[in-house]
Amino acid sequence: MTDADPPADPSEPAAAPPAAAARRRRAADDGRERAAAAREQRRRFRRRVAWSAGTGTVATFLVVLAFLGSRVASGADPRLGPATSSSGASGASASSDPATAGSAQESSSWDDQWDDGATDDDATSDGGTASGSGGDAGATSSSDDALTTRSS
Amino acid sequence: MTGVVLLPRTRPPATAGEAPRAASTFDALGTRCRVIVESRAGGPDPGEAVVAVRRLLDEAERRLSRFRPDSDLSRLNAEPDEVVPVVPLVADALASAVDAAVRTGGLLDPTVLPALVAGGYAESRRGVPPVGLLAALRDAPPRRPAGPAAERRWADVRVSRRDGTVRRPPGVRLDVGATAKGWLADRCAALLHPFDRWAVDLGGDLRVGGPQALARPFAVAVAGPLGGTPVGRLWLGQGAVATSGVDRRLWRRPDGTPAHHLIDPATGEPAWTGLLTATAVAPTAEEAEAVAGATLLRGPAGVDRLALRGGLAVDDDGRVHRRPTDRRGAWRWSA
Repeated sequence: MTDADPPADPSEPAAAPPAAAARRRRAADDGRERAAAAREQRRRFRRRVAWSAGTGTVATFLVVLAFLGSRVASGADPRLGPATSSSGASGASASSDPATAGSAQESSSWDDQWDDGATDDDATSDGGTASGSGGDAGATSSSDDALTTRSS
Repeated sequence: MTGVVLLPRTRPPATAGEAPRAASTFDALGTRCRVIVESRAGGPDPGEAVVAVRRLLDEAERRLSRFRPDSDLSRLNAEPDEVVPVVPLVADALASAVDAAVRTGGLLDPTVLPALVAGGYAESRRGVPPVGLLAALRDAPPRRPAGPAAERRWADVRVSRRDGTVRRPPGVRLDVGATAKGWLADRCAALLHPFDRWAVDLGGDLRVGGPQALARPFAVAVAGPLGGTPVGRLWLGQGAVATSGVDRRLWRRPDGTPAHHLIDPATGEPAWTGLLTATAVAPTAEEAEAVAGATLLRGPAGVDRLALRGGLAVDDDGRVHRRPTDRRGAWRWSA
């Protein structure tokens, strides 16, 4: 170094040979590509997780819906009302159009029972021995199960 | 929707026709009783349950009837001491009666026995045909809602299940006629709890239950006070129904005035409130009977109280007041 040379600026890197600069550029480019690839991988992973969670939620909802639906059809849940049908065939019919077929069938089968003489309050007695109920074993009770409430 | 297709229906195939079943109709508690019990294959024996129910009702009648001088209740009423030991069954029945008085503000008063006897109901009226209801209505005093007695003697009755004692002011005589059938129907329900489908009918106070009763509910007709077609029909899958009315135990006093067994505690006279019968639905028969009795005593102005659980009332003109009109759940009105 001579007196005529300007002092070196520490913030300015010394000029590098062209080959080293090219290596650095390639290394920087590689780093950027790797970062972009990692970002993309993370994005895909997050998307996969979101899809799995969403699918699981929907599947759970459908399972719960089907379970409650079967309980409505069977009348097994006291909060959901009595059975709407008495056989597999009619059950399928009711579920095919629950807005109309189910309620219509329910009213029909229940009212049929009253027409069968379910109001007979002196129903049969067998003196406490076991016996088969007979009759329709479906959603409606048999006529010898008919009860009457009255003042006593 | 795959899950919908693959899921099995929770209701098993209909096999009620093969299920072990027992039913019995018999006289107890001064009325006609009926028990229906259904089990499942390999389940508990329904015949034994029917026997257990009959045994319970026989014991209850033996201990709680005021028409039997040797019953526990008659001995209690004859006892001069303030504190009297009682067996658990009697203690529970009396506790239920006092509880009904508390819940109805004294309308169902277990201490109105002297008024009931003075009114002509000293002996059982089982088998005695009632006088004509229409003629009785014509001759009955003006209608007015019943009210609690000012003395509130029922509030002085203390039942201790733990000590097995009843404490009441000397001279206060107790009767459980207004509440015992409902309470006993619930006791029967406890015996029938393990079974698939069952019903107990104690002279019109009904209690049904069992998981299969929800799938195959019991058809219940509400008898009208004037006979003929039922005034209501409902399906009951779980719970109780009870009816209170002036149409059954109805007689004339020596002076010709009509009387019945529902006493207005405020006056000590039979209550002519403008209602002939009141029917209430409730989770337990104890509650149903209390609500039905209190509704009848309150008269037409109290009918809306039936809306909470459901029920109906028939007024003196034969009009049927149904509350509510579209109830769904463990029971529903039929068409």
